[in-house]
Amino acid sequence: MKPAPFAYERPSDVAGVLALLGDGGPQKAILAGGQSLVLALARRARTPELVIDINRIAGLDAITVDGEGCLVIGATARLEEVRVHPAVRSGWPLIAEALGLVANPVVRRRGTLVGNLSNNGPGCEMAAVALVLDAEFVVERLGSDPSRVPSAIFLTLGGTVGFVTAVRFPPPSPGGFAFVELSRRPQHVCTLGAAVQLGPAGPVIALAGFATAIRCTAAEHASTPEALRAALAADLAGAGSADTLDEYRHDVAAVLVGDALAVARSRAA
Amino acid sequence: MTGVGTNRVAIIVDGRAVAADVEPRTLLADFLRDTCGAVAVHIGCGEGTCGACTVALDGIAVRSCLMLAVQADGGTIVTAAGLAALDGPPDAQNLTPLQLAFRAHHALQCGFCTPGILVATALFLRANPHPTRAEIVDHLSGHLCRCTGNVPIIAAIEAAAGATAP
Ligand code: FES
Ligand code: FES
Repeated sequence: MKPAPFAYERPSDVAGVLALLGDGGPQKAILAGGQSLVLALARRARTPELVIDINRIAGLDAITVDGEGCLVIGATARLEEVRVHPAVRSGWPLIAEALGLVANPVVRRRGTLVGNLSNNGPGCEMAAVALVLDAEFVVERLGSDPSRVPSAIFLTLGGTVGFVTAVRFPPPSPGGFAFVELSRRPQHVCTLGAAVQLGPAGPVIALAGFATAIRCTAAEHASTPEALRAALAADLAGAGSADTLDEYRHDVAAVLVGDALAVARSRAA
Repeated sequence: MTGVGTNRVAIIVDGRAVAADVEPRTLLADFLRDTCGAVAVHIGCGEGTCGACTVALDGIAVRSCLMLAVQADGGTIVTAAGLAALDGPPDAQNLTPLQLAFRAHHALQCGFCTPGILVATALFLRANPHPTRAEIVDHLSGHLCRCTGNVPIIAAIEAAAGATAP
């Protein structure tokens, strides 16, 4: 459980990170909360040559609502700070509800939301939330303007796109919401989790627990439990899971999505 | 020494200043035990699950196995050996109120998990002096005890919270 050797830098501003990061690649690792990265280093699942610690960059931990009404969460904002933030709880309660199921209070005080989503391990609850709420990632690279990468793309890239300075959630959807999951024990990574947000165009649904979270567009149009089951099977077709329990997962997915829809609708009423 | 050199780390551990040059890959837990002699830091899983290695860094509970020593540079660390700094003055036997509650309620057996639980609980009770049982259970979800079981630990924390109530 000892990391392989690497060099360590602690730049004091974003420009310093970009200069060190260069073209990125697996030889560079950005260290925020470290609750995924330090474990990966210790297991030697990751063996970068350079670790860039962004924890002492002033202002990067901000949680703000911008002029367009979007929630902007900086790269070093801790999971627990996001979870208890008044603006998050009132405007984006799905985020707060799902965060309550992520890790434990001590790990949440240290881990960051951007890091959690960049790592996007199997069973990452917040990846499903990012898909449902249509989050986008603010990515900076040396010599170019910051770009915004939609969740649907970002979550498949494995966080290698550049320096993610923030994650941005569109203005609140006033409808009901729910995050329901099955996990081996509370606050463990989920086996499967269902995120639901009701909006003017109907429910938006995503499932966590596969190689990455999956938006379930067919299930969003299902009107009966039987139709929901068939629709989920279509949504999940080809979703490579880590093991061969696909039939079980499809069963559980139908139950969780059904429960999450019921909770969301009860909250909307 | 490796090709990547060393970094200077200066921290305060239980009131004592320690400075040393360490490889960046040195985990805080190993630095505390091996360089600082802070053997109240127990390393159970080494991967963030068990909570045994939990210390207070600048007043916040952290997993010392999930941090690099260089990250703590300039910081102040409290381990279970310095618990009084978080939990209030010790008695004649050098036990803090929380430690006395753990003894009274048989909330430890082998004691491996206990240092992490004591540090995290002292900080937890500072932030939330009158927790509900559900909040205590949630707090303990970050700590695995393989022998005592959580029921006496919960009882000890409830008693300690009651004892410190106004
Ligand atoms: S040794 Fe750090 S959490 Fe188990
Ligand atoms: S007292 Fe033995 S592990 Fe908790």
